[in-house]
Amino acid sequence: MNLATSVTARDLQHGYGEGFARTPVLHGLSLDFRAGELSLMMGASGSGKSTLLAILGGLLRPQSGTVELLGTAIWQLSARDLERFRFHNCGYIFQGFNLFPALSAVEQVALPLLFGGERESQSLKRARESLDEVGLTARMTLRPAQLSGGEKQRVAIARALAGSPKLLFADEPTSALDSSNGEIVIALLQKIAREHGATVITVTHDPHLGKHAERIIHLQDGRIADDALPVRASRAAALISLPLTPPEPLS
Amino acid sequence: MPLSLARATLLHEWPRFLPGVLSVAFAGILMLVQLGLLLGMFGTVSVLIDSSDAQLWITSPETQSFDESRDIPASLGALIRSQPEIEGSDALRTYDAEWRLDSRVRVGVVLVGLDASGDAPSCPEPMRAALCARLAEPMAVVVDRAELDKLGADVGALAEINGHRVRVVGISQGLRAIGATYVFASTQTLRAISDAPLPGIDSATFILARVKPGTDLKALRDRLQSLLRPSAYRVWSRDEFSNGTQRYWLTESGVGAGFLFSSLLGLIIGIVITSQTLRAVILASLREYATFRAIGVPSSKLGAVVLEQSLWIGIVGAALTLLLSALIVALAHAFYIPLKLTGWAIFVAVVIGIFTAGISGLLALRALYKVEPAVLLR
Repeated sequence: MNLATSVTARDLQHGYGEGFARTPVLHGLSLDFRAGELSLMMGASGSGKSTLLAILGGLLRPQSGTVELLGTAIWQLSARDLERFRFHNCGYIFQGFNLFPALSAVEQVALPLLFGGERESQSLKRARESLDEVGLTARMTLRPAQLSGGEKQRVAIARALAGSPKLLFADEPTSALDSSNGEIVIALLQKIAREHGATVITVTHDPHLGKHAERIIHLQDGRIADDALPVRASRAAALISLPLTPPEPLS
Repeated sequence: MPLSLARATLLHEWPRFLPGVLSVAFAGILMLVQLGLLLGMFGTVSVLIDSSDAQLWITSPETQSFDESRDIPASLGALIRSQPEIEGSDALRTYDAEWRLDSRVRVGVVLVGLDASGDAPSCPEPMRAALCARLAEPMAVVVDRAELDKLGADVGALAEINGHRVRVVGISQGLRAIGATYVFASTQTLRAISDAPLPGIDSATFILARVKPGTDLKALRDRLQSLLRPSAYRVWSRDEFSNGTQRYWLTESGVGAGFLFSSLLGLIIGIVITSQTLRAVILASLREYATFRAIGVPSSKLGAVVLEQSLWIGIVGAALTLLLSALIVALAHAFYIPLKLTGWAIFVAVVIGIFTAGISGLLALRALYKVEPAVLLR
């Protein structure tokens, strides 16, 4: 397993609103993530976990601080270069599945590749491989309306995977699913981290997912309250509320 | 078939696109039918020019339109006939009169006096086969089928024009004009009805000439115009006189401006509805588009999807325009409504349909370019 640092965030500050109405969300956060690991970011709503994910994933410019992905300081790139960087290195999975109702599963997955300039035959081939990997070989020609919630999220994962991303960002990927489908999805994400050596950063509020993660980061009011390596899967749930290591000092 | 998000969405969610297609189609029909009526109506004001067998027309100098002409001496015909390129020449006379039938029907008509022979240049094409010759009978008249109701007449009917008894000996077709009800008679009949002027002074409204095949019409017209003083007479080619008459009606009546205004209105309404339709489609898939933006697909590629959709809306809308316009033209024809569509009018309507949809697509793009992938994470 490759454990090189792939994501480095330093002194991230962000808030919404201006002047007196400004609500700070992140207070100078610094974090590193390693390739081949599935990290969970947990916290109550308003703790800043989704904002942090957006900043790390190159979707939201922080008010101050730096983010290096794979050695590139992404917030110093031009908008077009950042777009290109995301296209070649990042995958995203969102809470809603965000699939086009008109397209079959294999088309959903192939379309981003096609937009990236790949030939159609090649795009469809990679889309099929990707759907194979998430276990949807038999459901490739179905449209979203014909798929269950769990299957739709697996299509979304296959779409994120098709570009062979080195970084995968997932926002509440299981919150719209029942627990058994949630298990399938998180196990898939872990497999992607291990087998593809990808850095998988997942925001969740589901404590049951802890047993699949290499690392659990707890956010509270825009600060890291706890950054733990779950020792045993069976005790993961307990670990979430029991800090083993002191919070990272703030800079 | 290659994978296209635009087409797949159009086929799968066609009811969403229907308002756009219909508004493009109706904007096109509105324009085309108006244009057709305009062409049809103002085409009729020059119907006697267009259907004549005369390539040259001579009028009084200030004449701008067929129905606004002053009399000129009929003796000019002799001068015209002396030119070697002229094959035949005769006079056409018009005379405002009152038509009466029974005690109920009283209609102002324009009596058209022609040479009562089928091969005279003044004999209109639809009457050449038989009707012109039939006018040789004293006090015989021909009226157009589209005017029968107005005149209360049919073949064999007896009527009065300015107190003179006339008999309808035939019905023509396609010689109806807006602004005038034509009643055709021979020159002799017209003279009898109009209480001919002093003997020796024979006047005509127009002198017409048919030229020999292969003649340079423009050169001949110029030569005749130099022979006849421009201050006294004007020499026209048939097309010039026809176009001049139609242009006169178009500008004098103000209908041209009305047409432009209402077509523009139709166009704007079409663009507003179509762009709102496309916007609604974009908004319905906003999260999907945002996901693609997150992945790093450039806005321009997603914009191309919307423009392709708008292009298809334009094509389908224009096709619908053509289909419905064909129906309307057939219907108008059945009711003798002068609605005429030319090839270029149809071409313009198709182009405008696609243009409407294209502009709508561009307007709708704003919704797409505002998509921020970060909205997915809030």
